[in-house]
Amino acid sequence: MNKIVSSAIALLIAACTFSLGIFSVWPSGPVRFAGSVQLRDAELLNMERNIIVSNNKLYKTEKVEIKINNRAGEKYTKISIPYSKMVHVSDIEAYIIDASGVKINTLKRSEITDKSAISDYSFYEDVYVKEFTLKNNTYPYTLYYSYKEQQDEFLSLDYWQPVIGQSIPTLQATLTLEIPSNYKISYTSRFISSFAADTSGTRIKYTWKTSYRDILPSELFSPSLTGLLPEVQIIPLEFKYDQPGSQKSWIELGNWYWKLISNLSDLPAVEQNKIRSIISDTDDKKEKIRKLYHYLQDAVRYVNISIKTGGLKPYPASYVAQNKYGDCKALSNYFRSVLEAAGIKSYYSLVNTESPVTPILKSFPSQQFDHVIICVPVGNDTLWLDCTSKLAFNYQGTFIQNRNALIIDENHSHFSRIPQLSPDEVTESRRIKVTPNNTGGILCSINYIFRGENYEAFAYLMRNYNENEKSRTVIDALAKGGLEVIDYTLIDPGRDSKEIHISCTGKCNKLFRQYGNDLLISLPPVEIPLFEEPSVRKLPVQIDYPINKTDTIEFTLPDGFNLSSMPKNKLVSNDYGMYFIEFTQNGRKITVIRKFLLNSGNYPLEKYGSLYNFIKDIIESEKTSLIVTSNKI
Amino acid sequence: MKKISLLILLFLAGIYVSAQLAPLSFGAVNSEELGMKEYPPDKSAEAVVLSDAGKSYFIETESSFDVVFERTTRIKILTDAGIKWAEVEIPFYHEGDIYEKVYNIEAYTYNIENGNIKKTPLNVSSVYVEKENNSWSLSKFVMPEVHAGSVIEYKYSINSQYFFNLRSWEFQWRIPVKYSEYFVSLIPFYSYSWILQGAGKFSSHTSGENSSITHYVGSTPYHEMQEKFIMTDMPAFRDEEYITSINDYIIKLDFQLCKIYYLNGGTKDIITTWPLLIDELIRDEDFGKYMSKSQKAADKILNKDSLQKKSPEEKYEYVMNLVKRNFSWDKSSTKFASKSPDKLIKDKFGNSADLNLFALGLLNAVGIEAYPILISTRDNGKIKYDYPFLHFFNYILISAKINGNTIISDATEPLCQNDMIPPRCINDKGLLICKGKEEWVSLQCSSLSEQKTDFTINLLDSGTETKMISSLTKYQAYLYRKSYGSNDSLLKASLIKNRYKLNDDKVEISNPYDVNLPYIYQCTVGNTSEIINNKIYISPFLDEPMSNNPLTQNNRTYPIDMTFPVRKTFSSRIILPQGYNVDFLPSEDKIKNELFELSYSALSDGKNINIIFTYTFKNSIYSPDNYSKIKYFMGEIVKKGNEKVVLVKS
Repeated sequence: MNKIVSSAIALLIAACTFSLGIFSVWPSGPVRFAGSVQLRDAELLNMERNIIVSNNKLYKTEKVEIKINNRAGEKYTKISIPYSKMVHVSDIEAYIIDASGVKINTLKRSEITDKSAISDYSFYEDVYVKEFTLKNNTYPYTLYYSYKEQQDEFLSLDYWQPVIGQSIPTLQATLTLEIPSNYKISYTSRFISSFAADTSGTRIKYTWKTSYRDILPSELFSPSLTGLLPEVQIIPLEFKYDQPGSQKSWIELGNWYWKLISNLSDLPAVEQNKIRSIISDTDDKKEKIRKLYHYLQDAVRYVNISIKTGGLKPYPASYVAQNKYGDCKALSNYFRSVLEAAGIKSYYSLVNTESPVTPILKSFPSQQFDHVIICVPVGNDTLWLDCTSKLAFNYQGTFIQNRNALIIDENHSHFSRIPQLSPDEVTESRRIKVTPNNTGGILCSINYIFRGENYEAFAYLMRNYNENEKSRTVIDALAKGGLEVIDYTLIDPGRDSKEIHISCTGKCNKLFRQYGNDLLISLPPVEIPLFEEPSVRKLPVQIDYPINKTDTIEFTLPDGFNLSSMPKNKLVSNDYGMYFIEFTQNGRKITVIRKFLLNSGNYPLEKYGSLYNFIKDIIESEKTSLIVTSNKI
Repeated sequence: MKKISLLILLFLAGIYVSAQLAPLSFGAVNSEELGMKEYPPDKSAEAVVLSDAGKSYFIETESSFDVVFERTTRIKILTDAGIKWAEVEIPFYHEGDIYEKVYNIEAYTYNIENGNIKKTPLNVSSVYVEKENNSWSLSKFVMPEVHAGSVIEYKYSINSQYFFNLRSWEFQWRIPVKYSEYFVSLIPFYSYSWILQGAGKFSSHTSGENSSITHYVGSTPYHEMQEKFIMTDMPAFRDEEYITSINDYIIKLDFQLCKIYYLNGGTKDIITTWPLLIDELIRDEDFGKYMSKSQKAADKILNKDSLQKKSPEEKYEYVMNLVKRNFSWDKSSTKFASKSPDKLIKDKFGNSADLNLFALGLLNAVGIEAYPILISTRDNGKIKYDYPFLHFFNYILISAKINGNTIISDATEPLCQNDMIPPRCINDKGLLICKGKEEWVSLQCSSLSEQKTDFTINLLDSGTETKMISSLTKYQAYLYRKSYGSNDSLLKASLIKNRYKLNDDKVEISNPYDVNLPYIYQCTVGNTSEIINNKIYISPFLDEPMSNNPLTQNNRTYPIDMTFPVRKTFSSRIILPQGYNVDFLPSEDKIKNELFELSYSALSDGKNINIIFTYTFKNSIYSPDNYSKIKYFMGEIVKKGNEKVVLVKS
């Protein structure tokens, strides 16, 4: 390999031996030497953040040095510094230094651009970024930049994760914090190489140091990257953010949320009357809630507009009643008010919807959530209602299942577990009939029942796509394994059914293959996750909800062919899941029942080998489970 | 009020009574509209624009004129999927002397409540401004109280100092439009030409001088010239895959300034013909003159003397490599330079015009005849050759004459050979910017990009072992260079998708960035054969040919654009082990016509089985009439490419 590369360089030298000055015609592109130790595209040489709290104001200075090793690394020369009305940024400075240590380019103020930084799920947020780029044409070179930040109201002093890209190492990173000795904080950290606290003076100084050198791979079903990177989180124990509050305990933080949302249940009288009339004909509490949830789903919609403290404080119920839209906070607060008007007590509840599931650090009471739902106890039952959702009543989707929710209640805030989706609740089942027609085409009729993740996707599509997009997306989704979709029908079996049915007809000539006198029939494939080989796997496994697939396949044998041998039935069952396949013949019909279940679970690396073998064994079975018939004519 | 305006319009439009011929007046939403459950001409529509009326006119300012654009739009929301039309975005521009302003926003949602019409106003304080970049912002708002069944109506005005292009008007939306009207009131000092795309004619077009009101500029009286364009019953624009750009197909009206008349009687032609546009560009500071400035700056980065003895080819290669390797593209597509050559030399990055005009200057500096080609990239849409409008274009390429041959290239793309342009630029024709002539240069790629893959299959005790080596040229190579380059782990990941087990877990890549050589990768794949009833089934080409037909839909209305012609060849040698006979060889196959070619042959000489499978898409674009043929052909590729060879123990 090295030989090929060097001969290529020789060719280039021959072609252009007349370079001048620093403008080389050498291949400064992303040339890397496979086989030898890979040079990273860029490296974060040093990152230094200094934080000072003074007079209850927060001052930060950030200094960063990024080394760019080749052209592919140039994407790290585009620097974005976020700011908002609450976070002021100033004193942006930047320059680059070439390989010989000469400063070659300094950022001018006019080269900084400003723009909104609104996330995909939002309609509007008052957050912005300042952006600039500094580049050189010879590698390596180093980009230095620094800036200052100031905040007057804050819930958090810092969430520090000194990594700019999963594949970019951080050689050195330092965080310092200086606070008055009477200023109370709490902090938590992960993968920190050194920590020091100097408490000798009137001000306390903390120092954290870390690095990120062993690049984390991207692997199937691995835990959230957030939990695998070095980080420090620091929060003030007492704070003022809209309201004064404390993070000494979950109860105290819960009380702050309680205050934040109290006095926001200002439902107009007209609305209150409407609510009473909706539930007037029922006495059953759950039925009342169900009716009101349907009313919510029909009347309002999700639109995220976040300004000022809007990141945490909901718009009042009157705002939603008037506009008929809101974000998760506003809609949850609105629905809580609706239930209140119906005389039903419910709780504003915070969750972290990050996927893969990221556990809440319970020992560190702080704002660790990104979503709000409503929790309603009904007898021994607990209903979990996502007010942004148009899915079935009390459907605990992939978004919120298997997570802890912080239930907000005055002086009684506490965690409660949202149950996990069971294998039954995520089943994807198919009844497939495969029949050869007279002209050699292979006809399939398939009835699908989707639950879980696919139910969520198809229900979204049914509601939000126009006919044209709908048909294109459904056909693309079904056209797997060589199926040519001729026609399909989408069936919604009712708003609270938690599943979507699709029936479809198509052709799948691929399933029958003739080789001389032999006809090979393959099974319509089932998608099995593709795990890395154990020799290369580096991360543990986290499967947040099960995968459960059930197929009943009925083949009709073509005329003139008979079954020559029947594949063996198989059943494998263990902690990881289950695989089952059974073949039966009834005259000219062969029926195959196949089930695949992958349980949810967390597995350390030591167990990876046996999980992998379980999957590999299934993949092997899937390959060989062909039916061979031979022509008797 | 409604009656009166209708009368006036009838008068203006002549006698024309068959369809709705006036915009619906603001606020006059009726219960019939609110009760509407579906739109009969398109029952699948999620929403319908009941009326959309725009108006552009001039107002005098202290020194000049501003253009005012007013719009009133009424939309019926029919289903939940239509609710997204209740989120409104109004783009406006600000740069240099131009600072557009959006004002007079007024909007209402109408619903039926207890049998009465309920009107909910938009709270104007909830109109937000999003800054998209340094020149564009969006005024945006969400209509209140919207659900399936609602009617929404909004109006706004934009004041602009930019009169070069009057605001264009899209008659067609992604939902059906019942009535659309654009009214322009022009002053005699600016003359515009307009172009209608996507339709042959208007439902109605009237024009005439409004002599009833006399305006004065200073003491000079003038009358306004009024044009009204109406389209009714527009179907929804439904997007499809593999089209260049929605801009190419949607029905819309564009305006461009072509002449200025001065009060003293003088005139100035802005653009009336392609040659005039070419002259204009040659004189432009950020275009033609930028090339001459770059030519002068050449001495700072290249030594012309040392190049003197070189051949034109060598000079060309030298300059193109110099620019490609030292300057990177900032991903913005523009036709005008954004920074001086000196600043570019300092920054080392720039937009497509900066880089290509700079390279053109350098080429000229070393004595190579080279000209810019003005083009529109694929996502920007097609050029209308009958209309010399500069705004159709968004990008510049290089045309160089080397020993009598013309070479087209793009300095922004180091992964392309110096005689290739990247796929994003392959879009019909471009205009050569060369004084005194109008020449259109084809950007289509007519030469084949090839991928040849050789397989050598040995049968071991553990099953098959397949050595695979694949060699790619031109655009095929470009795509691999762009996706994988020298990153063997990325390429490996893409191969492992086929569940291959790679020997030593290794893929070797040759010439990852040597664009003049083929991109080559090779690896050895462990057993892929199956044994059933003592017969061995071998895939001669592993799973490399496509395994599913990518054309899944049943029909199509827009062309299938493959960007460049492609040939793929798979050739396999299976070494027959001792004691095995061939039980089955796939049959020969041959398809040959003007659109595509396919051939398949399998032969055994008792020691080896040799199978060669090759197919060619001869064109880069296929018309929608050919969709079923292309789909069938793809199906044949899937079928033949995945057939197996069967061996049996003798």
